[in-house]
Amino acid sequence: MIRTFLRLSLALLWGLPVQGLFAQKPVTHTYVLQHVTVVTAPGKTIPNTTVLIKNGLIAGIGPNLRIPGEAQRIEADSMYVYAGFIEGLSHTGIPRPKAEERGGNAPRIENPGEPTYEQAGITPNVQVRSLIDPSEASIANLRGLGFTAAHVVPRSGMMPGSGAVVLLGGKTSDEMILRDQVSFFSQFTPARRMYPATVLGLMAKWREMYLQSGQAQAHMQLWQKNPAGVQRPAYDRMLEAFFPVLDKKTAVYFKAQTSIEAYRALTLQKELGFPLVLSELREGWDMAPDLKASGASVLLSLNLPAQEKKDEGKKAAADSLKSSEKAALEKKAADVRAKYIGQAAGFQQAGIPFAFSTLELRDKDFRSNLLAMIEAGLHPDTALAALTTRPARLLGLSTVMGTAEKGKMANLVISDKPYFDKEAKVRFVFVDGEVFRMETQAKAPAAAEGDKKGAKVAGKWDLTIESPQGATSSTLNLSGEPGSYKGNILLEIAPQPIDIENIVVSENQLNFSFSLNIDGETVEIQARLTVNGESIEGVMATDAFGELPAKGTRIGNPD
Amino acid sequence: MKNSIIFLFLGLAALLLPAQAPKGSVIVRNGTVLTITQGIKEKTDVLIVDGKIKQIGTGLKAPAGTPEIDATGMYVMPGIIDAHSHLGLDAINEGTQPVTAEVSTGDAINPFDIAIYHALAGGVTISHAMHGSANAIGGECETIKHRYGETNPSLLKMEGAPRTIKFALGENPIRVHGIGTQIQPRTRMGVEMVIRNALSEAKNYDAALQKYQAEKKTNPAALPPTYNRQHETLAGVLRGEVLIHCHSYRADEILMLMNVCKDFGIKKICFQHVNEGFKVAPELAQFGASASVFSDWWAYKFEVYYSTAYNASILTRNGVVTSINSDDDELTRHLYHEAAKTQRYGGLTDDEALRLITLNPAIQLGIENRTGSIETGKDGDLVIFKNHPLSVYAIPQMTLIDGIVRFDVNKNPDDMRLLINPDEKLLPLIYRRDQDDHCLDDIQLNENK
Repeated sequence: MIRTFLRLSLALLWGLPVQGLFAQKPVTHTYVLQHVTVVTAPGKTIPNTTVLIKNGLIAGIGPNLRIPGEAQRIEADSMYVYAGFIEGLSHTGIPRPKAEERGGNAPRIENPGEPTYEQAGITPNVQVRSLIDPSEASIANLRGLGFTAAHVVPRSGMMPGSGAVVLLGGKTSDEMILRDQVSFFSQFTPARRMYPATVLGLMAKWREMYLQSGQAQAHMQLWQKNPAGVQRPAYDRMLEAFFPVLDKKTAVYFKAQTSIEAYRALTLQKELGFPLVLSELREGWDMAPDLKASGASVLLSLNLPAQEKKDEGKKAAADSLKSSEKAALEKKAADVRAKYIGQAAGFQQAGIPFAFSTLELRDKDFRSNLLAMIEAGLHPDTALAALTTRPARLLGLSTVMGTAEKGKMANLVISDKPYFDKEAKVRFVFVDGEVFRMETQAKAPAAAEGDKKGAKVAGKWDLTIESPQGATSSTLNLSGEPGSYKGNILLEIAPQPIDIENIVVSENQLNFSFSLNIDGETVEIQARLTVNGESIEGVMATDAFGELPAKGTRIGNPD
Repeated sequence: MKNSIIFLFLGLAALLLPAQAPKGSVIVRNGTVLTITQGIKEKTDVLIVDGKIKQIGTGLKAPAGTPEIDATGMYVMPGIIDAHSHLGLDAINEGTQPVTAEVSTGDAINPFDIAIYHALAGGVTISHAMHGSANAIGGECETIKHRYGETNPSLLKMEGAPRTIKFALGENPIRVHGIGTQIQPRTRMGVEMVIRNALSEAKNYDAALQKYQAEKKTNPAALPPTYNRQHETLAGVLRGEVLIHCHSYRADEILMLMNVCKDFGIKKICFQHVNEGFKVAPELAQFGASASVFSDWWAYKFEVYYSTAYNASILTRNGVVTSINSDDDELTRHLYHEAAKTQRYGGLTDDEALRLITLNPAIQLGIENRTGSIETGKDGDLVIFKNHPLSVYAIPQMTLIDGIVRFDVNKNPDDMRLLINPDEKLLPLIYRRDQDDHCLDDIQLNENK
């Protein structure tokens, strides 16, 4: 209500057409789901029941609810209802920063020993809400998998800033925010060519800033108590950002994928005593006893090594190796892969509760990776807890989300079969009481709808990509009809055209992705382009290099 | 004292107890024991209980269940110690400013580095994992035990080993900072000033800290100096708690740094590389400085042309505590051969030559009360050789650390990597011999701009 009032008054203030703002709103905010199975919490199921959703909340679950006349019935008969999933830590909705200049074009650094905080990647004062882009494709993609809320953090540097819990629905970042400044995010990302350029400097800087912030806080408190005779404390945005951590009100979420990184984070925690959440842990299978002793919480990565398949590297190895060597190597690789997949089951067995983080997850791998973990011994109830109750508890939001119970926020995911069934498809997602309908076959549900009114994208496009090494030309070939586009891209660095996937056309926006094999490593590239008649412009985004600008024109019909 | 501020603010002393490295019991039977300090003992047993040498003698009785190793016809010597190494580290140089005393290689330990296992196969049980030589004052170094198989990096640290720090003179800091980013030091004189200034600042900082600690007893409004990790470490150097290990080549700069030490009251220093050490051997001995040298590595840059393979012998015979080091993951595998070269160049005795890779580096690292010789009470770090270790036919058979067998030539599969990346190309372990030293690893030189 307050939100509606605010929007109304803002609209009046700016003289905007109020009608336009409300045009897309549904006629009712009351929904009913009948004959559904509700998994209210991990291990607790109510079969064949009714769910009533009203004003953003779960108004009731049970067989004998009074259904209000304005309730809209959702066609979810015989489907399965779960509490919406929560990303324990992610960059969902946060655009990638622009790629930096490297190599010959990189500017000379004048004084690498004394960079500004920003140059050094030290910006703990940054609040993630200022960076959220509600139109980022990742929001709809994650929602399509069943995620309704996310703990999001900024991307860059060793101390990128503070995180917020957001809802994966809403038109503005303010609308999405559920709780702001819930975490202090840090990662082992040294500043390039400037101090701290290595993990050596990074660890030293971390300790120094933490201890200096302790001094600054003590000084501030001394002065606030009685300023007479006390030297005035200087304000420092960076050090002040540590204060909630010093007070143990906010945890440090440390991205630590390897066990080495995880131990480094534990070393800092042990020395300095801050509350720690080890995040995106991938290689922690030997760490259970040390983790228990540390008292740190943990978020496991959902990013697994690629499953066998299309491994060209294996072929290359095979040619130059004896068969016994090759067999030994393949066995070793399989054993190691099993450790990654079995990590979650191992933590379950060791009795260490965990949630999942999705900083490094490729959306399309989510379900297959999760199911692989379950096949390796992770109990589906534990998996569900790691997606719902556990992150809610970690983020202090257990009273509002994490279970499907009366009074909780109406954040729900509804699948046609039990969610952890291989064949299951997400059919509806509720975020904050608003329904999102998923098309059955499309992975990105927004896509199918969007395609119908999308720009004409079929054709052969000449595309120039600005990489740090210079401009490189490519040919994009797109054929098909709205809703069933397919195509490929020919790059200078690859001998064959590469098939593109996840083609989404919405209005004049064309998004797709493809993967490139560079020196045996798979690089995932997301294209986000805007079509304007016969010209096209946008970016190619990768995790490793950031965003590369791309620009081109249509040169003909598709092959 | 370095942690004094941590305690001051957080009172977390109890939480700083280190995790425990595993220790074992074992009896090595009937070997030729090269004790280093007590001569050669033929057909002798060495009993290790809970990681410590309990007894040395013949016909020893071991507690029931103690595993036995038959060393009949073999040589048993103390674990080899490499006083200059960069193995097992993810980063070597924080080369972005001329003084980085605040960093520590202990934060960069990589327990998965296969070089650790290779070193074990060469009988090396302890490495001094050093910061590089890009900076006039680099970071603290870590004395690590080669407990390959442990995945917690802290378990590789030799608990209780004194703190050490890397200094560097000459061409490297001049190239990286003076020529690279055009700041001090641009010359050898500049290097001296960078070091003197840093030590002076640390002295002032320490004084301010002492003053604050006295003042706060009576004045609640007293304010401490802003915590500065670099000054904290260098104050430790001034107090003698952190031992200097200085990368150096030329005689003039070696004398220069001894003068700096005299001026600041610093008594303990080990010169590393020190190719022209033979020119100033009496001066080194008189100061009480030690030297850690290559057997015969030279001419890889201008300042190392005036070199001799007699360096270690000349230094030893002048009374300088001398060791032979590797500075290299490959060279460390045959330090026993490197030590043997001093018998060809300078005629050192067996005992003198073996000391170069055992007791002497232990003294330089401040761990001689626990390692470097086979004596009761010392750590159970042993290496068993087929043929005398100074013979060209020497082959290490087994390497023990704290009484645990970490290398056994008979249980040595092709691929001893603890972890491989399953997403990368499947390649067998490739053994590469680097042609360069690692002193400037992680550095992008800017000299051509």
